[in-house]
Amino acid sequence: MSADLEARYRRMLRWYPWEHRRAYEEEMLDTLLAGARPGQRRPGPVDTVDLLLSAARHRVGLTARGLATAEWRDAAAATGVLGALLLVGLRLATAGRGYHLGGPAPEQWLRLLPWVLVAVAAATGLRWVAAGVAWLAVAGETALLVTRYSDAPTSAVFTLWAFTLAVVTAVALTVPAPPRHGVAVLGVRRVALVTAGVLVAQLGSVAAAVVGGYGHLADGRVVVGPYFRPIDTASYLAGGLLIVLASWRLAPPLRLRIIVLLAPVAATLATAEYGFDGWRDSYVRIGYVPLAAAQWAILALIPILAFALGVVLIRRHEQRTRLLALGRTADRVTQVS
Amino acid sequence: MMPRMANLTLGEPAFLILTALAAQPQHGYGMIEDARRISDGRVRLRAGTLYTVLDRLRSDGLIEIDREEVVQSRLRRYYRLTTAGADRLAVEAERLRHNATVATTRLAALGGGAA
Repeated sequence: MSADLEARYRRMLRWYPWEHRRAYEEEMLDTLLAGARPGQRRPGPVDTVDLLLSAARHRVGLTARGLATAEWRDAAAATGVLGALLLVGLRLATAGRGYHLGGPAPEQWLRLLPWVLVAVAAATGLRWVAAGVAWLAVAGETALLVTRYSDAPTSAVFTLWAFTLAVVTAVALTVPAPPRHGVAVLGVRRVALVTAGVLVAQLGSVAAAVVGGYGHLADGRVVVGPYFRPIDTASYLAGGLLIVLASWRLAPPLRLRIIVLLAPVAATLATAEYGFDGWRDSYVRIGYVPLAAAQWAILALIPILAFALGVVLIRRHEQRTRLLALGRTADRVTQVS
Repeated sequence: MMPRMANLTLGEPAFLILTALAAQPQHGYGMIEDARRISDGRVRLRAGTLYTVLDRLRSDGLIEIDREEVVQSRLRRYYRLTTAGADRLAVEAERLRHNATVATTRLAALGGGAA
């Protein structure tokens, strides 16, 4: 058997996650080389496909098992509470602006109500009520999104991130956890700070509309007064600062996981802003151009990929940290001896 | 440890591996060759599949490490059947025998076939 073949098999075995390689790499290599033909220099196609599929299965399995840990359960419970609070703030601001413009449409109050119920139910330990109402709200948001896409397609696409937040919140609340776990994980003080941050940002934005001037012309175009942007920006900065303060002392494993759980929301927002601005321009210039199937696929897949990438990066980061700690300990022992 | 899939069928690769280990403790390549003999050359287990199944059987407590040797500077690990593994193989063999008997009887009633 050639050294080439061994080196190639070793490279292929790197496709497996470290947890599997640690246990089986050397004996797999022995088995693969024992089965090689005399003079064989390259792995055969059947072995290559078998190793590739098996490595992929191990990686998917490992990721799935990794998501079933207490750290992810804690992060999901916390994200459920945070998501509900953010949605309350968001819908409150929409209804508030509508009130300023002469009374919000009934749908705006209807969109606010379920998230208030979800936030209260999640905070008081009625997790199944919270999850159930959240999924009902997602169903309602889906219907509104479909209607809105036919009436105002750009608005539907550019507010899709809020829909993603609703879905993430519903999924997070569905993950099994003890009652009031989200509040327990975050701490009452932190939940209060986030609530304050959300209210400052969103109600500040409504105040900006009232004080700074915000309205619609008869043709539907938005007009804003000179003080609207400064007040609006300041309120978002102040609210954001409170939320950053709230997350400051959060344990890094929990904070990273909450960020990854919310990554699909940021990914949806970024995809619309940077990937669909040309489509929005063409809508303004030449009228309605329906989204192609590939564009819908991009909008659906990128948030999922953002989450998957986040999960992989967290696993790698934590594995590297663990190995570094082991290496340092071994180094200390060597120095001492 | 209780088998995770005690009520599920084993699958052919796992059945062949347990059958191979029922004879004696074996290493990876030995199991591949034995599985081929048991299946009359029909099944050629590949290393990726073999170690996926071995990993599952180990975590289900159906097999365990018998011994390790170093051959040509590489690790060679031998596995053996546990008592739980022998029981599980017996249940699976009985299930297959029962199914084969029913199939054979029905084919005979059909008037020919393989009976």
